[in-house]
Amino acid sequence: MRRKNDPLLKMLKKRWYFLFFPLLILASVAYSASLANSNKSGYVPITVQDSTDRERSLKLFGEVAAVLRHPRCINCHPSDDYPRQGDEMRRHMFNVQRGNHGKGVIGMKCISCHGASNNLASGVPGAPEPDDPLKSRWHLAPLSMGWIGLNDAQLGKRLLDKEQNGNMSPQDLVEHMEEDPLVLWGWDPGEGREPIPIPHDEFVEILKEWVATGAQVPTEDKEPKK
Amino acid sequence: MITFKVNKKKVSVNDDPDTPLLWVLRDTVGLKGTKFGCGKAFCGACSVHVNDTVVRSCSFPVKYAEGKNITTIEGVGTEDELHPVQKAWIEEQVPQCGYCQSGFIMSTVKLLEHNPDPTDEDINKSITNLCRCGTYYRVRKAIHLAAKLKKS
Amino acid sequence: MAKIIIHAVSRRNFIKTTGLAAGGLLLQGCMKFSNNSKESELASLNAFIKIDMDNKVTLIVHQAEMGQGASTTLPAILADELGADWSNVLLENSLTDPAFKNPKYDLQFTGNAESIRGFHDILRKTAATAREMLKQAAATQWNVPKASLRTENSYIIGKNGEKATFGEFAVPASKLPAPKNVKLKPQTEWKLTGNKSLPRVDIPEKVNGKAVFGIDVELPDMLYASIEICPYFGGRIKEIHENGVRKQSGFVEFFKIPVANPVVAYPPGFNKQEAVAVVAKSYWQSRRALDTLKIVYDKGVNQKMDSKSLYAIYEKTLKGKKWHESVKEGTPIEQLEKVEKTHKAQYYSAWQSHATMEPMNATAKVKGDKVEIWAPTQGQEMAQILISKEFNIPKENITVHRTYLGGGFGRRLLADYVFQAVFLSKKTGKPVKLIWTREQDMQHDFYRPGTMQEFEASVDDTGMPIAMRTKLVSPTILQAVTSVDYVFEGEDPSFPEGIKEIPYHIKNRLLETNMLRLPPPTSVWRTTGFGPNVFALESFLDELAAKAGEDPIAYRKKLVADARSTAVLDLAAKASNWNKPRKKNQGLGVALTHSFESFVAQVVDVSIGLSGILTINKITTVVDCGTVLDPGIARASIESGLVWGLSAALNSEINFKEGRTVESNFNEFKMLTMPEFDIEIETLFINSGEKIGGIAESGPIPIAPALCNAIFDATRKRYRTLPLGKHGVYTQYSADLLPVSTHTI
Repeated sequence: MRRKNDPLLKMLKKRWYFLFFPLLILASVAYSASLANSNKSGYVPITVQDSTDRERSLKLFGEVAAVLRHPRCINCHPSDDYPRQGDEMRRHMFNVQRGNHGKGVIGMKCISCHGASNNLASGVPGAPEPDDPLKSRWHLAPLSMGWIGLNDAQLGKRLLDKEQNGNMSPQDLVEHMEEDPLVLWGWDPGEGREPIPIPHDEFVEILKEWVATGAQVPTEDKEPKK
Repeated sequence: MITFKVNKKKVSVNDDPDTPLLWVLRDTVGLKGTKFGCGKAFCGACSVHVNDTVVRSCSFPVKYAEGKNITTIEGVGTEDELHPVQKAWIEEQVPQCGYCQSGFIMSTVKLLEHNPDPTDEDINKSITNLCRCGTYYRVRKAIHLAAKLKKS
Repeated sequence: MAKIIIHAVSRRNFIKTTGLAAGGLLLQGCMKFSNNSKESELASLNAFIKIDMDNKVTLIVHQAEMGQGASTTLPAILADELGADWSNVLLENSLTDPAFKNPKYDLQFTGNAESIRGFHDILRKTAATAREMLKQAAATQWNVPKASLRTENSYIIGKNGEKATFGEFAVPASKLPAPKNVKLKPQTEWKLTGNKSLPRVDIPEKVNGKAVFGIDVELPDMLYASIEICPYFGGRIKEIHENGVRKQSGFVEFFKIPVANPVVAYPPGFNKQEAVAVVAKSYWQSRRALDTLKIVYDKGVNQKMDSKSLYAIYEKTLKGKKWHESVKEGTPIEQLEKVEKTHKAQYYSAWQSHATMEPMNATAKVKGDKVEIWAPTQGQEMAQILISKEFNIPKENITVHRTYLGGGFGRRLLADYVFQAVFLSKKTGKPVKLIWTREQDMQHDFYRPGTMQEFEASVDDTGMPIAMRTKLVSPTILQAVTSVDYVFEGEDPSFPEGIKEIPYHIKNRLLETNMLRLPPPTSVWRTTGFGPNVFALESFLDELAAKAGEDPIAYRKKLVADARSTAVLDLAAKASNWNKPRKKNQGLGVALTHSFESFVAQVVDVSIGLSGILTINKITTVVDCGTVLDPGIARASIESGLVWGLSAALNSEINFKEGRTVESNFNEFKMLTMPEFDIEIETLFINSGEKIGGIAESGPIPIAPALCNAIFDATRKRYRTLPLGKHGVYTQYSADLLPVSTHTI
């Protein structure tokens, strides 16, 4: 069972947030309202009243997106059937494929090599729990959560779209990224792999603040193409 | 003490819990058919079955074998009756140096259990073991033959 | 049809129960051929064939089985000539013996595609001699003419119903003098060889896990060792910090191992690699303990060496003036200067690793001045020589047991790893099995060196070459396995192969060589000198054909010097639909090689996709190796060669950086895999009846030039350096593995 934390309560513990308290209330009301509207229709943009708040939320989203696009995260969030590997995010060697439920194909399942922890002998990374390689959760995110190739607007939209993200509310997203061992692995990826550079707790704070500021994402047409 | 079954026989070993299953099978249990090729789960020479899954045993700490059923190349067939995959391997005269072949066979056995009639594309996805002698052409033929033998 | 191979080694359980380590088989009541025969004939007979009174026929396999089928075809030749019952012969792996030396080299080894062509005649003669002695013994007893007798299924059979087993006459036969000039069976009477595919004897135990490779050897009371060799060529071990290693479970001791000479002492500064080894009670414990040690290296004089600086040495040498004149026919320089129409091109083949699937390993037991070795070795006698020299032990005190080899490809001619195992056994006083990691194996290979050639030709008005000048720059590939100091002789016999003698008739020819001395150790690699040299020659000929506006096969046919070349080219053209109009983006390329006394023509059929993706549609290979003894095995060998050659042509290469090898495992050294070898292949043999040629090394030789010629045919783009990946030429599979921008921002 997931632990249900109240983000507001958590934030209140940090003095810094008191400064933004009125804004937070506004924002949370706004996004609760928007979620209420979005129960069946996937992504619904969250509107905020204050344009400076939107600006701030967008800025925070940029920081969140940078983490999501880090190889340790995005390598298992491909938009196709091929897991990626390495900091250069190339396809996984030896023709490794998505297979059923993102767990590989017969004979070449994720758990054929990836076990219950980062393997010191073989150097193969593994999911920290559960403590049984055959039950290892090491797998690909579903195609609907594929991020590779998306721009910020698309990424944000997909992230928040409950039809695509496994029916997760922004709050659920926070929890996923705060607690899921597979996500946490990104900060403890084992020898020879660059961990996600910003500390996990800082990332979670940013994420929470992004949610608290209305979980704003850029709109498609404004996204600069490079 | 870590206790598990290898080829249906119960074994208990005292190795360091982090020792790769590969070396426990080879040196403690004494089954040398499972081979060390790269130690990094790249080549597949060390492939065995752990319960129903093909596992590269160089990347599987023995502590996790507790209570599980391990099958090695020595256990896929019997003295009297080879596994259809082994028969196909002989029929097509697949092995050359033979060092990597246990791994190919273990992967193929599992492939055919779950996919009795694999296409070339299925084979390309499931059988990615390395063979320096380049027996791939015959491995492919033997997989198709084994599928036929299994059905008949 | 159960056939039994009696191995020189046994499984742990077997050894435990019998206490028997190894060695030649002693059959009770076995009568060896003995007595008045000349010593050498006698030795040869006894070395290869044993027949006991119970009619047990034992044939000795004297060449390493590394997948090439030697353990089937060699005894089959003996059994065929002897008239032995193939389904009941016993096979035994040989030790070292003068009878097993390859007479061309006065050395017992397996390699150079010599197993069949080097021994076919010797084996036939040996078996025929034994057969005639058996017949003579029977003829005397039965009082019939010897000529009226024949042998079949291990029986001696007469015309009037006489019949006896070999065993019944083994003793009287062994007392007879060995006849001279025995008549060999004509090919029409061969039953086991000559266009007959026998099931390989080693395959049953290679599919049930029972085959014993070097890594599988177990001895009572054995210790296990892991090793770290100084990674810097020419570097030294400066300090070893124990770092708590003695507390590691199973730890026994660690040792600094001095420099191992492959067979002879290298010239100063050449491959002097110190190593640290840890001996422990189990292999994994030795690995863990070795990881604990902190080893500090003195990187030595070559620490700035990298692939780029090495390549620059090749280029500089090529532009230099120091050359050894290897071939000079006619007046090449004059002809080149006289004619205006010249064409010049430069080629390069990258460094390659052998990367046998079984990493280097050896087991040794030193007791006093007796050494016993178990190794997956192509160089049984070389190991003996090396250990004898290094430890000052008489050669006859050194027993080298040969196991199955998990790949050889030339690497296992060398005995560096054997030396290390012997060293450790001597130090610990116990049997020691040393196993290298894959990383050690790849970083401490004796590489096929990078090879650079420059070709220049002048052509007549029809575009045919009048004169050809070739420059070859490469380190030695033979010195590591021989006792001759070739470095100071200008060239070794192997490195100019393929361009020294060519299957083409060009009147005026000059070959100049410069044998480099570079820090990384080098040695023979499947294809030997032919690989890189034939790539250059066959690419260059293709360029000349294109310049002349001629069809590449027609052009070659005008130049070839013999009918066998023409025949393989013609059949390759036919089988590959050479003359069929090409589809859009399709290209066919050809290459011809005369190597190891065999002729091979190969046609590669490719398509180049819009994005430049290479698809190999079909590979057609036509082989004339004189007489095909076993088509099944020969075909397997060719198939194998395609993969070997393609790996090197497409992706695999060894690089250097900061004085050491970059690649250390299969993620970096990219060999072909199953999904990439989903290619149609056709392999045809021409039985010309000529002298038997080698096969294993010939198959992979033409693939690289045929492939590049095919790409040229499709695109008019000429690739002169390998691997093709360097030029961005990839199959879809390899292209997919390239890093790509994973997001659009």
